[in-house]
Amino acid sequence: MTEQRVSILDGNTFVVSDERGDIDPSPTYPTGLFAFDTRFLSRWVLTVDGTRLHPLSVDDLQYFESRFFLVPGEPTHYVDAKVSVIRQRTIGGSFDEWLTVLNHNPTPVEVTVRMEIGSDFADLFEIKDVRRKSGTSTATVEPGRLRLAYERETFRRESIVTSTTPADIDPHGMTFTVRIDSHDKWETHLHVETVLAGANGRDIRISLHRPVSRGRAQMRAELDDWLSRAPTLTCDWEPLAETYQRSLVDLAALRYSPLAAVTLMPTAGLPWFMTMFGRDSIITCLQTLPFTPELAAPTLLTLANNQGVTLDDFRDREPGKILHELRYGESAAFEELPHSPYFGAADTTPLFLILLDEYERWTGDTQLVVKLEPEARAAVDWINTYADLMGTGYIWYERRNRLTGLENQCWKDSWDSISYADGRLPSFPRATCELQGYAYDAKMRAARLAREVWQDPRYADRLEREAADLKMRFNRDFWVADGEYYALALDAEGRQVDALSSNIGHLLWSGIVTESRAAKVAEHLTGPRLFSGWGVRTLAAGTGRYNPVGYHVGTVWPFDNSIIAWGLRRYGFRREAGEIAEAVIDAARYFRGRLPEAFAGYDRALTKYPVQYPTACCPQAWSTGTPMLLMRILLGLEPHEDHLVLEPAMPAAIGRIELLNIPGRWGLIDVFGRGRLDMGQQQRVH
Amino acid sequence: MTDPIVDFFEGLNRRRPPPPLPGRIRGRLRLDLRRGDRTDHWLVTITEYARATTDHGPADCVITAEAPFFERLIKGQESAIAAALRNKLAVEGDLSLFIQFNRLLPGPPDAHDPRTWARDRRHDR
Repeated sequence: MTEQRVSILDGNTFVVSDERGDIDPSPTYPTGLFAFDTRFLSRWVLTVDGTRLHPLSVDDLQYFESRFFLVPGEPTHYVDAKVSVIRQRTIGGSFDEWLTVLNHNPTPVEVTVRMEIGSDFADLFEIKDVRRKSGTSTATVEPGRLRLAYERETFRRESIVTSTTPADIDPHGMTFTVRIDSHDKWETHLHVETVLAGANGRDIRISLHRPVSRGRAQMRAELDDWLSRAPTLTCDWEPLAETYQRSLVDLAALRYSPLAAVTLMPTAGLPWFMTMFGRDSIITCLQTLPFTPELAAPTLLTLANNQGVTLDDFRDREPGKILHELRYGESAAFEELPHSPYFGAADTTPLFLILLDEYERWTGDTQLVVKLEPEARAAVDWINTYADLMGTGYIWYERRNRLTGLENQCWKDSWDSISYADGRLPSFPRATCELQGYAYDAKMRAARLAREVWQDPRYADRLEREAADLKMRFNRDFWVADGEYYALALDAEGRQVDALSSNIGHLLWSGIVTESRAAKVAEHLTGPRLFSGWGVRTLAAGTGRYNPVGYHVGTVWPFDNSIIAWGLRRYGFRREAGEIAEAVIDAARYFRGRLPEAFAGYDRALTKYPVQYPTACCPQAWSTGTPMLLMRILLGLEPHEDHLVLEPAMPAAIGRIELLNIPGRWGLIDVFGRGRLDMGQQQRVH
Repeated sequence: MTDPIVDFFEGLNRRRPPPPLPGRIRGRLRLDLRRGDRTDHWLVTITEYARATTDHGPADCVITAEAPFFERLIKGQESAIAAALRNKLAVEGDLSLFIQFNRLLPGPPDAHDPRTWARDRRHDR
């Protein structure tokens, strides 16, 4: 069984196959054709004269199309290529595959080409453990097509497969008996339509902004248009140029139209997170504002439209809260899982306010800030009321959905991510430190909007007072005096959860750190316990739960590092910010420019190259946005009233950066920067 | 005996400031509620407020449901979005109006304020 996987995607529709182009159910990794969190094809296997094919090469043409060159025979056999096969496929709402069989013989041949076709209609959450489905699957042979369907009460999903060349269709696939002349070829075009049945059997997506199915030409035109609008980068440093191009294309691929949304916003990542996540979407928009600001407004609007208005324990929902995750599959539809949508995140609400302000600073779009005033005020109210579980003026979290809700409702949302230095886990509720930083920043930014856009100076004053008070209390309650860093969290008794973690970098970004303590925080972040050489570890080496391959307890996350570098830059630690930016972009070299979700926290001296976290999502939106934010930090780009301030602080190794056509409230602007920071001196240990 | 569906729509018409909806999404939403052979129609005009009449006029978004199921929905016993995903509520047309309508529905009647919930849990320990 081959381990290589090939993925093509278009928003939340994607295909994952092996390098032959075949789809075979895999218990460990989702292979198949997926749309809206449902697998629409779980079997898609091509044979010629009953024999599986062997890959000669695969071309990744674009994110939405790939081409496989194949010959009959298993890899272990001697390859006697009298015929060869080309599979070219495209995804654009629906799935299309062009099959070509070439005859290289001096004489005509007769071959039997067969495609095995099947679907288990698994919910994305069932893939690792495909359960007995509650509904009924059928495969119906209709004139010219094969219809696969899954039905459970009123829930119905369908895959409809057609071929341009007549086929013998049976419930398990299509067979073509063909005669090909010498040095000639045979072709057919297979088309798979996915159906989410809605009213009167018509597709639910019928009112989507984009047509459900788009052709290859339209996909290419959309991509070209997207790329032409983004700023143009010219630079000496190859890793940066490569990762920027890769990121722009991946960001295009990850855009999708949620049902009921006006336009496109980013999904979180392939394969597990091809849907709307409040946190991931907001952070990705923050990272990419200087490059692709058009993602932010639809994200803000969609999140605002779905803001909580009532209490719901199953969904951990409260009035004013911004959602965590929306899913469209069977488990959400039948409320077996709470994603319709789920609100178990304590950071999305302040982050929503932060993005709203940052968006206005870049674009000058006060219209949107006016439109979203009710939701912004409701978000502030949430911070001050429902979030403060202990009545101590902090954001706390504790799930009410104890069966399927998330224990940790911060970005490090795995069960063991929040621990004391000795490895014990704290009780609930928990108040992690970065949540307080976000709350501080959210109030400061909402105050600016209140003063400048909503014309409510009294509200602005109140928010600033609240923020100042929060900062004072936070610096008293979270500062670990003997270690000289901020605690990861407070436990239910108000005691410090004293592990040293990357979260302290987010505090710098938020501005909640007292000026006099910032240097200590910066020292920890770039010191040997946290900094691996490829970036800042999620949890410091030497803490009880540290594990260089633990999801949130020792791995290095590119996105996390981009926020940390932003924070360092905010407090004037240009060299440290440059060091992190250089390390992360350098790591991208090993992934052909595509930063994964996370890599292992091993010391750089030990592995020489960054080790990808075993089941990391790739591409992942906020990893994709990372190189863009890092470039902003290196160039020191900051909107100031109606112009863009440029203050480059770049390691000498980076050389020259030229970025043309940066969009914003100033129109389009070009900037240039040159690396002058000598990183070598600083790193020397005395 | 009062009809809970009639009460729900008349309740919408009685709502006073603050506006329950942000007002940027406007349009007409029709509910076709089936009970046996009969179908009742409610036309809801969505602005900052929702105003309901019993017209059977054209609409930008049409929701079709069984009346008993809709009764559960307006008591907070069902989620409109989950129901739409499984086509228990058949929604056709401009889905953003449906999302606005969803904001007018009550939450589950047994839901807890997280603050009292957390406090009570701590006392139990």
